Amino acid sequence: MQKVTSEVEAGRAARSDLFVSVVAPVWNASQWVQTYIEEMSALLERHFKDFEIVLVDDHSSDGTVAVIERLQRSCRNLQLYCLARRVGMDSAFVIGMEHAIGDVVITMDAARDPIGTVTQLIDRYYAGQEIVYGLRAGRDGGGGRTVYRRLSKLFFRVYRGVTGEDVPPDLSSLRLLSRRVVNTFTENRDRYNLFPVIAAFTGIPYATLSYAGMERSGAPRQVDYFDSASRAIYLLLLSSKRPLRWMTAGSLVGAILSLAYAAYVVVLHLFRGNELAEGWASLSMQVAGLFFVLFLVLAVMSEYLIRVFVHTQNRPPYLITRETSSLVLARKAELNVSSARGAGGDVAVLESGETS
Amino acid sequence: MRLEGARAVVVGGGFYGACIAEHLGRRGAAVTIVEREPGLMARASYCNQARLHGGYHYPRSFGTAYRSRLNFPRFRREFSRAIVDDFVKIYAIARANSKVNARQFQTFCRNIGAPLKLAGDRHRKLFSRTHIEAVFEAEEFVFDAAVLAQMMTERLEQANVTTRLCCRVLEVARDANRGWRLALDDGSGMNADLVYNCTYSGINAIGGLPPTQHGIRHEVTEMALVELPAELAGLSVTVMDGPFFSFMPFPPRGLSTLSHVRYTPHASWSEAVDGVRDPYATLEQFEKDTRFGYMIRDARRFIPSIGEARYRDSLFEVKTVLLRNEFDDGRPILFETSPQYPGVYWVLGSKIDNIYDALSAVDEDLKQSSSAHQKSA
Repeated sequence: MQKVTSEVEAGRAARSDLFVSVVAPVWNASQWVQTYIEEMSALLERHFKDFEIVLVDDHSSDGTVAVIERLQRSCRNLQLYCLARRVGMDSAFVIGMEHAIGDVVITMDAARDPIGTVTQLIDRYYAGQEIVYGLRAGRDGGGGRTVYRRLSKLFFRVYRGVTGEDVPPDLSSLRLLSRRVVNTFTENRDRYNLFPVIAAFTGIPYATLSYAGMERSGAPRQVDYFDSASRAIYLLLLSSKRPLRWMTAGSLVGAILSLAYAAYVVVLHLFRGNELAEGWASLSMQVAGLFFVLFLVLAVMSEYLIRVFVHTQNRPPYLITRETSSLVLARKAELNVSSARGAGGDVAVLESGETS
Repeated sequence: MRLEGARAVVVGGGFYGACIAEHLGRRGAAVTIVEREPGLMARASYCNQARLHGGYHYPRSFGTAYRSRLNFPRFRREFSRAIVDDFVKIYAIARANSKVNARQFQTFCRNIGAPLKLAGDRHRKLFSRTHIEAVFEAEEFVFDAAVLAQMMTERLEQANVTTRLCCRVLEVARDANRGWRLALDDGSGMNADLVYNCTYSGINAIGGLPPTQHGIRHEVTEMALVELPAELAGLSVTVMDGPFFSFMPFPPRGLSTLSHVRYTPHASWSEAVDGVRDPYATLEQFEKDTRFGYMIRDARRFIPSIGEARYRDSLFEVKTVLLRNEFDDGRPILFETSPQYPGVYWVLGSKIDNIYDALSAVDEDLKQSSSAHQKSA
């Protein structure tokens, strides 16, 4: 994976045509978002002629938006979308992706994924991969996250078995998707709950990139098991019809068994009636069995009913309260000459006298 | 103030300057029009989408829209030679992030009397159903700026207006005897009783004259010139109402202009805050990197065929708006006078077909100052 092939070299020579969008949600990130933006901007300027950095502010309350908008005056191609309510990181990723306009969309956890992975992902794209999942390895800063990661890995193994959709079990939110892949899910009405797995529905083969995570925010993210469990349920139920099929099968089996048991009771009663207590045992078993099946069915139906409820309500899933773009002030013309320009290679030549 | 024998100088040879100069000339004044470029209507009057507003473009400003509709028939009659109407005009309402929805747009058009009907299948199919809520066919035309400039040149000649091209007014000062003395960049000077500052972006850049009382904001804007793919030939599309785009025929080059609300402005500054008074110098030094790549990628999400459009060129120009209309659709004409500068007028108009409102303002003011003169005499 580290070897530079001729395909990759050819890809690099044609890079000026490739438009890259880098999408990241942010929440209460005022302490570190500036570092992220500046580093990402510098890297993208160095490698790509056209790009955009898309940030989705998940209803921050610590002035993150002000920091970003201040940076928009000096960093070009920085797009910010502010949400009216907190939607959670996975949904925010999807929102960012559907607003991104790049030929290639890279999603990343701005607090925990290193900037350098962008070029590595793009290299795999040049080699012909349309989906590249990042697999985050390395220190996770504490027992909580290790347990969480193990559970997450286990969950995705189960997920693969249950739904038949192919995702690498230890995937992170760092990934690259081609424009074609992104376009396949912009019409999916459940897309906001399906971020981890949504590229898998295309069936397009994927590549992986192992990388070491880092901690830009200085503090590991809090793990919310309830929220994770809730998202896990959505993933299982909204990815595939299989759970519902099993439910149908299970209900049928339960029904057949109940029927069979009822028949058994009748037979017993006819031939051994006087040995039994006054019908108490069979009645209890029958009732218990029936209630078991009923509750199972009710649980699943309840989840689906929730979805039906949401869809018939037709509430807008999110509202953009503000959208701002970079406008570089004319009098700060010197900032148009980015620091990376003199860095050699076949970039535009600075004419003599044209200093920053 | 009677106009016979009055000397008038119009600074700026854009459409507004030329029309005002002609208007004054017909009323008997001795008019000179001064323009810095080698021809009339070479700057902002040329670098725009050439839209003859039917009112559709301002669904949130009833006033602007309504006046556009009122002015349109008159403009059409008077300048019919310069009007191009052989294309289909489509207005599409975006599904997400639009400030008006389809029903509001229809109601609005009905209220201002603008013809609007649902587009047929052939045109509807061009749009993405996820991103576009409704597709309408409207009646809107464009003007050919080159033909219009030619018409104005002829009309100025007929009105006996002296035209000074490649010429800039550097300073305006009180003349010792009466009226005003204008210093030009070739060292010469001229006298005038009436001075009309119609320089658009340069309205505050003439020496000796104070800035307008209304704050103004400048933007360096880019309009891409493209060749439409065969599937979109003869079509013009505007997506409403928000950070979207529009492409319209551009007759002087035989291409189409593509403008995007988000990517057309490259830089923006307000004179009050940033203190820059000569926007033309800023534009000249500005690094003109095209953002066509951004425009086309966003546009093709709404109308996939536009992805095949071929990029030909870009028009970079300074666009100027009043600060008070920065965030709404209003585009009133600025018409300012100052008691310390009698006879000097600051005129700034943003829409070519609103010229008649400007001419009314000119007449109204002359009438008032004439009666004021009589009173004080």
